[in-house]
Amino acid sequence: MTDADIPVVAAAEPFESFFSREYRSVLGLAAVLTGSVPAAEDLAQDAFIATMKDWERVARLDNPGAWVRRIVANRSISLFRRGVSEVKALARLTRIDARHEGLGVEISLDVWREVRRLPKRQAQVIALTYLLDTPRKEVATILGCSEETVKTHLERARARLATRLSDHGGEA
Amino acid sequence: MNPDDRLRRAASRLNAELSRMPVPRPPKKSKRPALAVTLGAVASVAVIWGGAVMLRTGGGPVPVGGDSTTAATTATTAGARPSSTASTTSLPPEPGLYRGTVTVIDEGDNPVVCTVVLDSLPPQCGGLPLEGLDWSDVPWAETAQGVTWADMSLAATLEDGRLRIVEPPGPAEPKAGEEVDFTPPCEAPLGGWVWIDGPRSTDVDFQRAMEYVRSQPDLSAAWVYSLIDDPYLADQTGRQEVVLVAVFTGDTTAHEKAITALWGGPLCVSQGTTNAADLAKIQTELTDLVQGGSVPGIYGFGWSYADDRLGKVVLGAIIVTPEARQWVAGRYAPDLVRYEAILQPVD
Repeated sequence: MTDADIPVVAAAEPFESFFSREYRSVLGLAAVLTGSVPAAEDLAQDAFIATMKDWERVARLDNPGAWVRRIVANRSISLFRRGVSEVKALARLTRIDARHEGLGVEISLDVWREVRRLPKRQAQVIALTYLLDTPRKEVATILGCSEETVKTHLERARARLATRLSDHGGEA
Repeated sequence: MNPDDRLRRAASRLNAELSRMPVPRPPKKSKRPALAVTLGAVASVAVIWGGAVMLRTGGGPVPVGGDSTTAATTATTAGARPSSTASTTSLPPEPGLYRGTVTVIDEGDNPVVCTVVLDSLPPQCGGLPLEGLDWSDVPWAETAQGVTWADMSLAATLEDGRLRIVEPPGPAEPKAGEEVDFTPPCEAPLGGWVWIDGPRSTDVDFQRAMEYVRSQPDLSAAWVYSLIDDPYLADQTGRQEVVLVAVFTGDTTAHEKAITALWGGPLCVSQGTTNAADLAKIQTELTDLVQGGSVPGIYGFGWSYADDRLGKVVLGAIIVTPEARQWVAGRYAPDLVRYEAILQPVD
């Protein structure tokens, strides 16, 4: 990833405060996109560590949050992508997962399941837009595409969800 | 309800749930390990990751510890001592002596050798009680909110499900990361595994192929082998530049044909011997047996998983005695179960 498309500012924030502010939303994004709390926790961890490693540079970006969200969005393509290590993570955290039952319940709602069935970009746009309330311009920055592309993804995703969700009950 | 409303409502619920979750400590740069951290010793995860184990957080009771403690206290003590290998030329080892690098957490005169560390502040864990520890021997220990903790090299005996320290602990020893080999188990094509943009090579194609793979009853294992070394470059491409590896116990020719119809990218279809679903069932059964106290000689049970790629069920605990191994070997196929023990017997 390059930061060429994320504006740079001079002010720098300590990584710790950035982490505290962003952690929950990054975890939520990862959880919605992966459908697995342990996988999301691993993903969030990886994303923050990657961000931390480059913090001196990332901190000067206008929106460091976009950086970490982009990492999460791009790495949440498939649970299988992470191979056996993923399986291990899931297994070792099975019982820790009980601590986050609530989150697990939320991300298994039909509406999020259907979001995960969408093409990757559409799912990312939906998660960023609805879960994190991210403006279209920022979604475009995070995903490295134009606002028009975001709009297209959003419209197609909504249309597809309207069809698929009509088959489900009224949960959420 | 239209999708817009349902999405907003679901997002609101999920954000409310997230807002209730504690934020863990941020990762520490100096403790960044290699990515392939072994899970063979969870203590090493705590040692290596330190504050970076951000996912293990929160207040309240610790489920892992609770289970582990239960497992420890309900297991019989008959197998607590590993077989002694006394020789005629040296002093015999102390009965039941174990060594290893561990995390110890003490909430107040009650030190516990941790199975899995929840790295909140202060950290929390469950595991086996440790007797005889003098924290003055551990000057590197940290304290917060009345809780003292440290990573250390421990030598202790196991007596009635409790660990008793036999010498002052030493500093924690770094552990080597486990290298997991994801190389496709197929002969590489001429020129090696390379990515070629062609038909049926989009992410959607990949997902469809994976859906097929995952739905096959004779699936043995499936994983992907990335053709892009730099994960950041991989992020940039937004494509699945990977070799899709699928292992089946059944007709691989038919599966290869079916997958090729969906996925035009690099593919390795291989013959396997263990069925993933069967392996998962064994893992569940064995885990239940261990948690129910039916397997003697497992102390501080911490985790289990089915390693489809290797065709093994893995059990992780603080101590796995020879008696436990013997019990498991009498029930399952030889070498089906692999053990990851935090403390190892001293021969």
